[in-house]
Amino acid sequence: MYDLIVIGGGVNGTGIARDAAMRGYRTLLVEKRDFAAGSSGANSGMIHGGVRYLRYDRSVTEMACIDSGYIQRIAPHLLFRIPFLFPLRAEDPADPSLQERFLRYGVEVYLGLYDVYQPHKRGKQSAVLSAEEAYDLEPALARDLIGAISFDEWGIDPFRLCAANAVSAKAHGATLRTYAQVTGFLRGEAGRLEGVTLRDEATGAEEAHRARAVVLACGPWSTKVAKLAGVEVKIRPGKGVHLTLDRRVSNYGVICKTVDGRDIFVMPHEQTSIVGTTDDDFYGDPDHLQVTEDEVAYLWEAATRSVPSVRHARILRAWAGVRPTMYEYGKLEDALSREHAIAHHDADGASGLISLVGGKLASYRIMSEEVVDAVERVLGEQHRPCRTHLEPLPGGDAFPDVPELAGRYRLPQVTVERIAYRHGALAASICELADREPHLRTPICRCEQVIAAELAWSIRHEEGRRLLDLRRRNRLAMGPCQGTDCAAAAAAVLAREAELAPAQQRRELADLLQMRWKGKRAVLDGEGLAQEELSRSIHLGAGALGEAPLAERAPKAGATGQPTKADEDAA
Amino acid sequence: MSVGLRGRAVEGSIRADVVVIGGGIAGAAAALAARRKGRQVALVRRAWGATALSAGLLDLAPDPFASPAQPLGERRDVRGCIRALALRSPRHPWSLLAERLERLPALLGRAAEESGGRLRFTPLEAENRCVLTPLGTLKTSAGGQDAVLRGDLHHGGRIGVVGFARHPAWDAELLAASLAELATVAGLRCGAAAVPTDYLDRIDDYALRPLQLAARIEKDPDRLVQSIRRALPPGVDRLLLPPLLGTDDPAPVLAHLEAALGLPCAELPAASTAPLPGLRLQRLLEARLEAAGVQLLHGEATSDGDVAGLRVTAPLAPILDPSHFDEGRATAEPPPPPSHRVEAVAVVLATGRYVGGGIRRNGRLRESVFDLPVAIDGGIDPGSWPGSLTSVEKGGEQPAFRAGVAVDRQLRPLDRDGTPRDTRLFACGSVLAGNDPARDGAGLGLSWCTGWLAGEAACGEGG
Repeated sequence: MYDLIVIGGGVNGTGIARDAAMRGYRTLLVEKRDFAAGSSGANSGMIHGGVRYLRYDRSVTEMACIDSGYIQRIAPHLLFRIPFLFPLRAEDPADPSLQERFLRYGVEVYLGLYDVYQPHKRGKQSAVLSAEEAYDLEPALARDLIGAISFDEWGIDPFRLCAANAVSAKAHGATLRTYAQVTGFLRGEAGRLEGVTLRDEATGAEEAHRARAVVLACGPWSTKVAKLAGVEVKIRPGKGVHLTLDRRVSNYGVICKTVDGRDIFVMPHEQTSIVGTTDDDFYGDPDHLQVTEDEVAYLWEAATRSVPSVRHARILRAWAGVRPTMYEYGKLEDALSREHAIAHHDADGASGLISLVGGKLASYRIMSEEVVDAVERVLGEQHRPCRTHLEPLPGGDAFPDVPELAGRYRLPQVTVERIAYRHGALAASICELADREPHLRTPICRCEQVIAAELAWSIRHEEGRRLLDLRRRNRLAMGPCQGTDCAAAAAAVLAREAELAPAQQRRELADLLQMRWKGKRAVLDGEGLAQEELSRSIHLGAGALGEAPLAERAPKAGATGQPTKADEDAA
Repeated sequence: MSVGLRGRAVEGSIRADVVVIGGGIAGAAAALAARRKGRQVALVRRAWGATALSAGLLDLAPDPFASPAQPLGERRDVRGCIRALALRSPRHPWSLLAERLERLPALLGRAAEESGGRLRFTPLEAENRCVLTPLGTLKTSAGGQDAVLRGDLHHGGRIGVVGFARHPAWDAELLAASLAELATVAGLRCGAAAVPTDYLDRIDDYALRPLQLAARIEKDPDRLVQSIRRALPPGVDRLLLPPLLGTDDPAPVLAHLEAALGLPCAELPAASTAPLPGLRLQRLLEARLEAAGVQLLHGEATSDGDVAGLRVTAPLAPILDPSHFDEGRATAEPPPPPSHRVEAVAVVLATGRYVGGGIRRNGRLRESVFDLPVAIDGGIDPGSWPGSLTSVEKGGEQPAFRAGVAVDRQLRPLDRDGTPRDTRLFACGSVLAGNDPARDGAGLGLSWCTGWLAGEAACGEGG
């Protein structure tokens, strides 16, 4: 018997589970795939204040900025500063038109307004730059500017944020169940929800779990899951497409104008650049997202216009996610509120059910706090204070001394740096693990500097069960080679750690390669074709992984989840 | 041990009877075939390509009814497999060569002769050989490097799989478990035992790359012998080792191991981005070409249309000039590399597909030297979105990965109107349309054959 069952392992679900567990509630988190496998892993990877929303919801911006400050305090290792430039251009830079000059002052005032919120998130104030100053800072900019205005944002690895919340929840007593799909709800007296039935995707077994309250935090899947309880949860899902480039093409994030006048960006993210994003109403199945030709062309046109040097980079992949935006009729996608809503469903005949929709990554923590407050009211409990903004996430208490660790354990400093970014203070434990078990010193992913010890750590301590989970935890196979070099060795590490049978090991490998292929497919060009040909020749040709594992992929009850299910794929 | 291209950069105009563009296995076969006919041959290549990244096998055609995890029940001979592949895909190169299959044993014999026995093929009347791969799968192939083919699982017996204790790339226990499972499924009469050695015992050993490991083993094979002895379970009849037995010819290390351990030894094929067998094959081919009197040149070939318009440049020259990076000069545009005329009776195009650079896509698919039309399944690519040239499943039908130059039965590339672009131009290897090696299972073995035939055709023979 639990106090609370949270459905959904995205940033909200893991955030709620952490908060509830820290307040001492017996909590079960149920996720049908893995943490951050859905929308939480397919966003721009920013804890931004939402400068875009300033136009429509000033309160969203303020809340996001305040909470962004808290996230910096609890997970400082995961955040990296991304200064942005908003270029101001003119048809003829020597003689800008009245309209162009008007826009310039508009942006200046607008970003000046944003400055009011910057101190909340330790952001720097905006600066008005001349064209020459902007070119000095960012030589990649197209030479048609009359000036630029800077503003400050923070990047984050959203996968790690979710994993850290989940691990923390577990440390506070929560039970985590990934690869467990909710199949129905248990009803008690007067139709009150008293728990869920779920199917363990690994064993196929059905289970029932009882709880005093159930929270839906399923993002774009909320509608589907709520339907199982006979409840309508309405959202207006929006599909967002990003492109990942093989390198950092700019020092700054650059705002680019699209052909229809929207603002998108090119920004450095870890070892790559991200171009994003589209925002279009989405009526399909969030389990089966595909990127189309026009979505890629739309982003690329805007990116090449503002930052022409992106042409020298290779598009590694295109990926899509679905925003679980709140339902409103008659508005354009961009104008939709990023507000969130917490609903009780007593009136729908499902008392004990609470749903959360809308919101944005940067405000996950405050939303989680509000949800747990609402849960307390349903449970009739005395309010216990929330501490999620005070207590650091795992690894967030101190940043390790990277050169010292590298020297002590004789690991390359660049490797330890990446481990420290991803795991904060826990990097020391991972280095120590590599020291204790020397085979775990083996470099696995050279693009992203992942060693076997980091994979083993995620399997042992971070609920990493499948190869794709390790991809999300550690950026495995997310660099330029997209798994060509590392996939097989990583599968071997997993096979050892999780004691997989040979057939399961082959299937894990095939599934990772399949997911990487899915993201490459829409953007195959130039060197990307050679890269994929090499991957095919290694894995399908020389490795003969072709027919056999694909036959094994048929949907029969396997021991490691549901390989045929689509998997959101980010960065 | 020499790493790097043999020969020299293009410096002036090239005059030869036959000019081969591309230095992989297909180009090498073409050049050697033309030399045998007594022609003067020049071979121009930009860099090493897919051959240097290959696994150590020379596959011709797999058994369509014996996919690796299924019983090898209906075991066809290699000739039957080739026929089946040709029948299944009418645009496959094997289909074009269907009438010349009787010449095949001679072509394959040339590979053994030219390589001094380091490359060999099973007779066409026999079935495909079957080896364990580093991914823990079974791979069938008609030919390969001798050290790898010795690991043919049809030999049976209890096979000791040698690895380094828990090394993610060479984990003996995982590989032995896979072999035991798949051998049963495939009906092979062999057992498997893990031989997890303690060979990697220094703190940084697990970070070593294949070439470094190979150099260490070559230097002191006895240390490996001792490690194997310590880990060897009783009752093992033969050993499979990682393809790390020496940086060049593995035969001396293999002989050393066999003598010391008293067991037949073989190498696994590779399946990685740094495959030593591929590197060795590339070096073997270059050494052979040089010895045969082929003029080896580095350069990039371009043409405005036909053989008469062919020119070559030495593309790497300005980059190799260190003064280019001197202070103050870094921003200066490097001078355009000089381009030189080519005078040849015939030209063989052996530039490979995407890895080799023979086919490129920049908005649309292009053949990179002559701008020949690129055919996909009989049609010419009009610049389709890549998504429509592929399918969602990685292992499924992928038209983009069988795109290439369409040729007639004399291996002459065809223009849009279906006639040869130039009667003096021939093509071979992966630049040819119709073969997806990863899916069709016809790889370097096929490239050797088409290469040899194109070389002969360039001398005005065959067809």
